[in-house]
Amino acid sequence: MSRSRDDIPQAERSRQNSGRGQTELPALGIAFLFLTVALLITVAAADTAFTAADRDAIERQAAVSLSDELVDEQSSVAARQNVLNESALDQLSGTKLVEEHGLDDDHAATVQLDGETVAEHGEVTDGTTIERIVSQESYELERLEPAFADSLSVSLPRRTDAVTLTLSPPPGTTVRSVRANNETVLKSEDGLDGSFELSLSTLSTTTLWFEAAGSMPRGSVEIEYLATETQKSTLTVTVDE
Amino acid sequence: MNRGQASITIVEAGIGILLLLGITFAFTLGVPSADSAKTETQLDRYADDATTLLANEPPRHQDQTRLSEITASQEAFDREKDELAGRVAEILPDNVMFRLETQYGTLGYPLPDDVTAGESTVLTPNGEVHLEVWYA
Repeated sequence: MSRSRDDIPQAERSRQNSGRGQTELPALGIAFLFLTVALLITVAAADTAFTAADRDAIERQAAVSLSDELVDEQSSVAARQNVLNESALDQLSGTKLVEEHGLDDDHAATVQLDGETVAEHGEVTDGTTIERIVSQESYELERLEPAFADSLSVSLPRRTDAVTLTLSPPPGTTVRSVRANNETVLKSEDGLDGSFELSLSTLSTTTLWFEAAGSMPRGSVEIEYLATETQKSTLTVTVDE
Repeated sequence: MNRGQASITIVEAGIGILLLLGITFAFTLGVPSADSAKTETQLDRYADDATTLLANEPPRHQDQTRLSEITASQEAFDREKDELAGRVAEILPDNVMFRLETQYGTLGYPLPDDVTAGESTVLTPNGEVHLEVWYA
């Protein structure tokens, strides 16, 4: 087509324009319809994705920080880091979770130890759960009556920070001193007799050495100490926004 | 000429729809699912807790804690590794596997590919202990 636009007669131009316009109109309408639908789907999907991500992240963060607070060594229910104090745990309540452990008042939460609920705040319907591995300590009194064979020494089978030592040497035997590893803890020239409290270090195994003149049969030394029993438990924290 | 112009509109709309669908898929598939983020958070906590408990446990023979005992020497590692592996397995939940790395060797299971794992590193006086955990 070599003629310019102005050369096309008026009638032909209008027919051409209207023809082109009308062919496009339904296509344009359908195209817009499709585009609108696709756009709506996209926006809906994006919205769902963002809300879900936000909600989950907030819940997860709340659950993690609540569980961190509970197992922290500064926490009122923990004896040491990750070691829970059973009696303090019984005192835990929903109000305490908010006041002492930084739970948001608007969030519902439950705290369970080995599946048993110990504290609840609000009503949890679903929510995000974080599990923590903790141990619980209990103490048991152990007694040891060493029979001395080669040397007057005894190694404590467990580490403990305090022992009660009862010396009842037979007549004619004088116990002059007691050493814990390399440190003299008891000393008397006149002879030791009776019960003594010793404090020891838990960072090393303790061997008690006795210095005595005379025989030391079984029963002349009795050692009592608190042995720590640890029991593994699972602390479950669920937070519902 | 009419046909050509009509189809261009459709082609444009089609490209537009493809673009929007692409964005939709990016949102539905591309956003990391809440599950995997939660799994990782949970596994990290497991690893943290396990190393914390081990680091505070008394040793079986010598040194200050269980973890400093195993990093003390090659002999100490060889002597303690089976016991420690048993202890780690005992501490962790039953459905969690682990791998513990020290300078003298490795305990536990080989880490599979394509698995979400949590990890934790603790320092002992004798060296680093690195623990990785994942769901079996």
